Parts: sequence; structure tokens; C-alpha cells
Amino acid sequence: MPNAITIKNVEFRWSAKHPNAVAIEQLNAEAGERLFVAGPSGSGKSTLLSLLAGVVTPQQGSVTMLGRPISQMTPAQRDHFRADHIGYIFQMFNLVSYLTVVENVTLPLRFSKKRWKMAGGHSAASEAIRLLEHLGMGDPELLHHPVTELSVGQQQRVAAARALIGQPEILIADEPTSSLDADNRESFINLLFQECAGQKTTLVFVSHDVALAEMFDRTVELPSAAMRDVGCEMRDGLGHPETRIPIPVSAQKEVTK
Amino acid sequence: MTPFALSLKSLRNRRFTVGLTVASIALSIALLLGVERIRREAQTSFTSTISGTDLIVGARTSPVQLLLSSVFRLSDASNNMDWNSYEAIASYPGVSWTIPISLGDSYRGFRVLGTTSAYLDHLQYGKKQSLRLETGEWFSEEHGVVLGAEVANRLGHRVGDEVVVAHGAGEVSFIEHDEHPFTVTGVLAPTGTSVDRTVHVALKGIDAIHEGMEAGQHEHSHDPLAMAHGEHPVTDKGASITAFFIGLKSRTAALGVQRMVNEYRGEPLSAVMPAAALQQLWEIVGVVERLLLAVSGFVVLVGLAGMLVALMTSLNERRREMAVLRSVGARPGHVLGLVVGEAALVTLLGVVLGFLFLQLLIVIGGPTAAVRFGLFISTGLPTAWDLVLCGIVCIAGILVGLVPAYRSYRYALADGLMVRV
Repeated sequence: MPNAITIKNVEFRWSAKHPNAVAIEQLNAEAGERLFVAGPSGSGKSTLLSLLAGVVTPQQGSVTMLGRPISQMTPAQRDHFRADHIGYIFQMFNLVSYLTVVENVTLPLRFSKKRWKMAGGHSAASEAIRLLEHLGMGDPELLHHPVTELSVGQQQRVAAARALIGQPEILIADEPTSSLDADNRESFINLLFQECAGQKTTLVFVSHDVALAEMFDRTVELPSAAMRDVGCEMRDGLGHPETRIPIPVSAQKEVTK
Repeated sequence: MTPFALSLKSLRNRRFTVGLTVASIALSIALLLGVERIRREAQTSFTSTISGTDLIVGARTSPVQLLLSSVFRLSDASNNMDWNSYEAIASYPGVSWTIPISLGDSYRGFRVLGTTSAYLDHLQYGKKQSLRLETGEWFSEEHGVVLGAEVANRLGHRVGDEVVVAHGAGEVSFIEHDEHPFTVTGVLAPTGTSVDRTVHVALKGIDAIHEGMEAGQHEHSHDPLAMAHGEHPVTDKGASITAFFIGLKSRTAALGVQRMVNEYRGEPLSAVMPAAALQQLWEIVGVVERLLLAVSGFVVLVGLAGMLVALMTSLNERRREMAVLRSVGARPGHVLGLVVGEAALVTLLGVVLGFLFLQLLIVIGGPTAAVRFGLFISTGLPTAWDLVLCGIVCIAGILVGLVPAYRSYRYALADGLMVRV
């Protein structure tokens, strides 16, 4: 089985004059793996996610997702690829305010036939409800409410269900827990794990909250901009000792493998 | 649900601002179609100022001139024609009826027209509508007067009132025929033509005035007995008229009769076919009509510009929405389609509402327009030209929508998935 994610010798700058460049020599993730991406502000976490989601392409190197080199695709191909294979959870959940809970969850299905079929086609709404139930949002009262009336925790669950529906192979979560309290944070991540495990979804989870790293298979740390300037590049789990965060035992094995 | 349904939901979410945009487009459309309709009605009412009349005969002049004086009663006829000529031509074979008219006097700014009862019987306007008396009856004696609807309305005259006719067409006249007061015997129903602005008297009544005038002094005595006995020194013979209308037994004879009139030996005369001359005249006045259309075109432009502004401002609040859609898999084409689709929908809605609004206005304001301006505007399905205009506006709306759509397309690409707002 090919890696879900393979990044090789990637260098990316937002523009030629942009001071910060993101350089990633190597980054791999297997299918179903749960990856924690850490790093201080400005370390290029968001840029990494943009590269993974195919929003931007690197000036050098290659990004291969599910065995397909998305860094060589045309923008339209990348759009299709993203719609079909990638679920995305935002820090701000970015729910569409004028849609109901269920409509928000099924939103990606409008743009991807593959995910629409995977979610059961015309019965996609019941798949949405199943997901929501699983994420602790089963109250039928809530389902047809406008999303603006939900609590923050509830909104985050809706956003997660939206990213998970139609079983995308890769789930990218960008600081999804930053507005949740500690208890909710862990239970939310556990729910996410359960759902990902069921679908064999590869999870890339970005957070600056290193305490969460323990829950994941593996941690990838991006060095700060200052570190990069003195020549420290991020490697797959082999960051510099000074900036490394504790890596769980399970992940250690991965690293040394 | 399709992306289109998404667009609808998004619109519903912003229904207030969208409603305002739709309203502004609806108003522009109502104005455009309204002006267009009035323009058309004006032309119809103009070209149908007279109908059923096959020829107009007067002293030799240009067709437009003859039309202006005899039908519109606007300019003075350069010359009168002899009564004998009238009688000779009226007896031509093929002539079904004639209406002699005599102009030259005025009553408080309105033209006084001397004629016979043939005027009421045969003169037609619009779609071969006959004149109708609103109140009273046609004059039977020479000092009776029948007022056009507007004259009666404006001057507040009713049947039984006395009016004094002045010589000359001006508002103020120095020679007033005080000695010949006329009595209003009837008021005509509104027609929307120059008939409404005309004071009708008997030919004999006018002759009676002028017999005295032409003699220099007022020689004929006002012997009530003589009047009563019809011993007035006026006879038909020797009198003159301004022009007369001819109705033929068969329209095909029109060219022949026209030629005969033009070649009439007694005096130089002209015969004019009203429809052709009206068309000719309309081409002269038609500049105003095109001007109106241009103005309403600009109004539509302003409406569309309003929509552009509304779309542009709404785009800022929707920037995040667009980026979210992008992140859940919407392609730039979808985003483009959503914005253009919205513009198209808003324009279409505006056009339909504008049309309905205009119909409502016509239903409410139509009767007033008919009475006050003589414009008969009818509701009804849009004409082919209306549809063309609406189509142009819709296409323009879509083109206008492309501007913000392109911007949102750029935004959505640049924002990528990084919207944190």
C-alpha cells in the first residue's frame, strides 16, 4: 500500500520576496496514520497544510498524495482531488451560517460525486446524521437548527462531521481544538480517532498545543523561522533536539524505523 | 441539493440587501418598459388621431401643413378654399361622406372649428372609434357650440353656458364677437386627440360672425325676429371653408379621387391621405421619442450599476463563505457560477417584478392618464420588443455579475483554505 502522504525535498515560498520559506526534506504518512504537526507560530504549519491540500504547489520538490503527485497537477485537477479525497477542519469551523446542521455536513457532497456516492447518494442525510450522532450531536432537535445557534463545541463537531462525510482518505485538521476546553478537546480528538479508524483515514492534525501530541501515532515538528535561518530543516520526526517535543513511545518506533 | 439551491439559500440569507437590489432593478425595468409603452402609445395615438378618413382636402399646401391645420388644429391654414369647390368635389362619384371644417377663430386659447353634424357622424379616431357626446347634444342651430372634453374640463363649462368667440387663434384677441354669444349644447367624450381641445360651432355660425367682420362694420342688425325666422343674410354660397374630410365608398378609389382633386380646375387644391401624412409627421416629432428611450436606457444602466455595487459589497461579507465552499471542494467554476448565477437570478427577478409593477401602475394610473393626458395605456403581455429589451437587460445583468464573480474567483483562490476571519 502506498503512503498516503509523501513529501520530498519540498521548498516553498509564498512569493519571491517573502522572508520565510518552508523547507521539508522528507515527510511520509501511511494510510490510517495519525500525524501530529507541531511548531511555533510562523513555522509554516499552515503552509504545510496548504501544500498537502494542494492549495499551493512547491517551487521545488514533490508532494504525493495517495500515490498521485498533486504538486504536478493542474489547479483544476488539484481542486477535484481535494474535493474527492481530502476533508478539512478549520480552526474557526467556518460553517455556512445560512445552512442547517445537516446541510452543512452534506455540503462537500455537492462538489464531489465520489464522496456523494460513498455517503450513500440520496440517503446522504442519514449518513450525516449517523456521523453527527457518533460525534455526540445526535439530538434531533439540533439537526435542523441554524448552525449559528450552536455552542462552540457543537459547531466543531459539525465541522468534523462535514470533513468526515463521504470517507475522504485524508483528513486535515488545522488547530481544530483551539476553542475547546481541555475536557472537550480530548473527547473530541478521541471521537475523531474513532471515526478515522473506521474509515482508514489518514489524519494530519496541526496544533500548537503540544500536550495533545501524546495521543497521536507520531509527531512532526516544524522548526521556528529563526531555526530555519541557521540551517535547521524539518525532517520526518527528526527535528533538532533543542526544539523537539516529547515524542510518544509508539511514535518513537516509527521514527527509528 | 445542487449548487443552485445553495445560491438560493445564500440569497435568502441576505434577503434584505438582495431585496433592495431586486427592487432597484425592478424600478429601472418598470421605467424602461413604461417609457417604451408610453412611447408606443404616443405614436399610436398620434398616428390614429384620425381614422376612417380617406382624404383631407384643402387649399394647395404641403401634406404636413394641411394635416397640422386640419387634424391637429395647430397652424393656420394659409388659404381657405371655396365652398363651391367643396360642393363640386363632394359630389364626385365614390365619395361616401364629407365633413367641411372652417378654422380661424379661438375661444380662450382653444381653436374654434366650424363644421356640420357630419363631424359627429363620420369623424373617427383611434381604432375607428366614433365621437360620442358625453352630455347634451350636437348643435342644431347656428349659435350652438359643442365643446371638446378638455375645453369643458379646463374652462369648467357645462351645457347651457354661454361662450364668446374671438377672431384669430391667439389666447388674447382684440376683436371679440360680443354680439355673438354661443350657447353650449353638448360636451364630447374624451378621445385623446385634438378634438378634445376644439370648440365646435356650426359652419353657419362662423359665417355669421365673418359676414359682419368682412363688411368692416357690424352692419347686420340684431333683429331677434329676423334671427328667429332664419332671415339671416348668410347663405352657403360664396362662403369658404378651411378644409374638408372625405370618406370614400371604397378605399381603392382614394388614389383616383386624390388625383382628381389635385387637378381640380376651379382653384389649386391638395388632397392628402392622412395615414401617410401622419407617418411623415411622426418622423419629424419622433426625435423626442428616441430621446425618451435613451433616457430610460440610462436609467437601466444606473439600475445595473446599483446591482454591481450591491454585489461587490456583499462579496466582502461573502469572501469567507466562498473560501469555505472552496475548502469543502467547490471549484473556482462553482464560485464563479454562484456569483454570476446570483446576478442572473437577481436581474431576472427584477425584470419580472418590474414588469408586474408596471402592470399594476397601469391598472392604477391608466384611467387618470387617459383622462388627463389622453394616453390610453393598456395592460397586457409584453410585446416581442419588450422581451428583447428584457433579454438585453438580463444579459447585461449577467455581464455585470461577471465582474464581482471574477473578483471572488480571485479571492477564493488567494484565500485558499486560510480564512481565519
